[in-house]
Amino acid sequence: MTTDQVQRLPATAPWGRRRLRGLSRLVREEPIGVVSLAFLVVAGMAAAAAPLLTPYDPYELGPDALTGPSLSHWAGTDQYGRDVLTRILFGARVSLAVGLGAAFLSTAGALFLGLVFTYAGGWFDYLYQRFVETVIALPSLVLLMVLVQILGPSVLMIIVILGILSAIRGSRIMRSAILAVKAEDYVQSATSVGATSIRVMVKHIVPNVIALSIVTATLQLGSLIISEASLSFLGLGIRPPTPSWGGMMGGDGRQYIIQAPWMLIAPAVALCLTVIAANMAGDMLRDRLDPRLRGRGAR
Amino acid sequence: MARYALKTFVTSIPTLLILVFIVVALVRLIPGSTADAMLADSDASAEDTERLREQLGLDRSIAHQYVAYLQNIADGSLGYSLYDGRPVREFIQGRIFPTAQLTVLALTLSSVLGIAIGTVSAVKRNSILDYVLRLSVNTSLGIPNFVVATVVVLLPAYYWGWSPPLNYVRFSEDPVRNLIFFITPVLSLGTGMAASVARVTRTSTLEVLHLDYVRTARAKGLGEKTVVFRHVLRNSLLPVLTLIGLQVAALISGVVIVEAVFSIPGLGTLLIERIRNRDYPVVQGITLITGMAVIVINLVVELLYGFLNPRLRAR
Repeated sequence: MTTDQVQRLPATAPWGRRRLRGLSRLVREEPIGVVSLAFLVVAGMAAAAAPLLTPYDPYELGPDALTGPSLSHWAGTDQYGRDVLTRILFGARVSLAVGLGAAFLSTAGALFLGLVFTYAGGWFDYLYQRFVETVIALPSLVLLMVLVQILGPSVLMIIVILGILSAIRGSRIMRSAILAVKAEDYVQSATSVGATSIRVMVKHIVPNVIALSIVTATLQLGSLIISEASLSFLGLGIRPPTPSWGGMMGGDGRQYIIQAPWMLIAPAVALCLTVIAANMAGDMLRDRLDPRLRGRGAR
Repeated sequence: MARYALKTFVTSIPTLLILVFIVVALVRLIPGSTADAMLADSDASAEDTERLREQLGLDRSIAHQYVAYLQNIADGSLGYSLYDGRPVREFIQGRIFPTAQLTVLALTLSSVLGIAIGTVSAVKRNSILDYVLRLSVNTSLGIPNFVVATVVVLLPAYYWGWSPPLNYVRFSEDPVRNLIFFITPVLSLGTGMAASVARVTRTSTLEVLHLDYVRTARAKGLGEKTVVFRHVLRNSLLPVLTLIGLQVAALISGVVIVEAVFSIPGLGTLLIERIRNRDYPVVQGITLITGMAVIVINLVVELLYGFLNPRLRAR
């Protein structure tokens, strides 16, 4: 079915059916993106419902240590006899909470910082921009390692630190977008009829840059998840026994590689699939929301 | 060109000063309770706590601390370790070489590999080769480098009882064994960055391939190779250069991980070790050095950019 036919669908068609057609068109146009998004949604639900999905406890020691994948333990057990798949499900909570939490904080923060400093202007803005350049120059993992060690390695703290760091980096992109919108005629005219800065920001600028900030957030999701996993892998992030994918690979996974390779491979697969899905879904969203890319090739 | 170079150089000075500020401010974030905790293991007296605060400079204002740190940079000590009182410089000197070697080798590998893959992918657009290359590029972008490094080291050990050489040998001791040792770390570090370089190269080459002057070059009968090497690459590589500059910081994050996996005695492993021991002056020193390295590399990239793109110089 072509685009024209979908558009000629009578407006009286039931709402549900129109939605369904829209969805099936999306699946045809962006199969990889839709599958990726679906994967993330399922992973999120599985993480949330982890205790209902598995008969095992992620912390309790079991009788069979280091047994390979079997019907009762799909991804084998670790050196304490804990079910690896259960720990992966619970580890997904950490990865997804950190990824989503930090992405949200980073988006809101970048928008806020971008608005404040473009409006402050002058020296404030100049100094802040040099500050942003410096933060960009510092390897993110180094800064993250140091800050998490100083402020304490809890999930919440990692979300806050990662979120703020990437808000600072992201404010650069928001700044240029805000400056572009500020130069538009309708913003000029709103200002000239006496609209306050706050009103211009809320009514005119934010609605025009919000799509960009959502896209940036989605595209960051994968790298935020990797950051936390790297930190835990190095033993400086989430502390055992709390399961996290990076931690499972870093400490025990490497130690027992010869006896129990599944302890390393299973979390690695979970991590890679999630990151790849997040990147693909982000790409799809960017193509859909960025007017410059929209329709290229398709139309 | 000299004016452009001077201007580029001068603009990096505020960045360096802010870098020092960030490094100084890091220790001020230490919650008061942590200072107590650091002394909790030993039977510390109130005097000891005071001495520690003094060593970290927490008894003075941040402005004092800033000036004191600048002095530490000026006299070359970079501060003194909290544990054995040795100058931070000595720690860094002993560890910087493997890190620099790893970074340079990975940067070279990923640039060469990434540009080659990206260019081929763009020139042979929509061929099977292009699809295969793009698929591998996208996949390797999704695989964190600590996964690559771990798998490269451990899986051959599991399946074939063979593992890549894991004993670091200094270049000065045995250059050949040193380079053989570096093959796997450099590969596991360089592939991820090669993927991002390839992606940008492909996009920018595609854009340049459609420009009029390329059509002119073809129209006057130049062979495809001459067109690509003499005309297209020169312009399509400019955005790639910017990307490489931007990626250096990310590459150094990767260096920390790869050093940990391969037990390379570099700055990354030193940083992890000193973070665990809460030896903050050394941690500050390493943070400063890595930040400075990135700023200097970006300065070089910017100069190269001006050199390659005369339009930028003229401004």
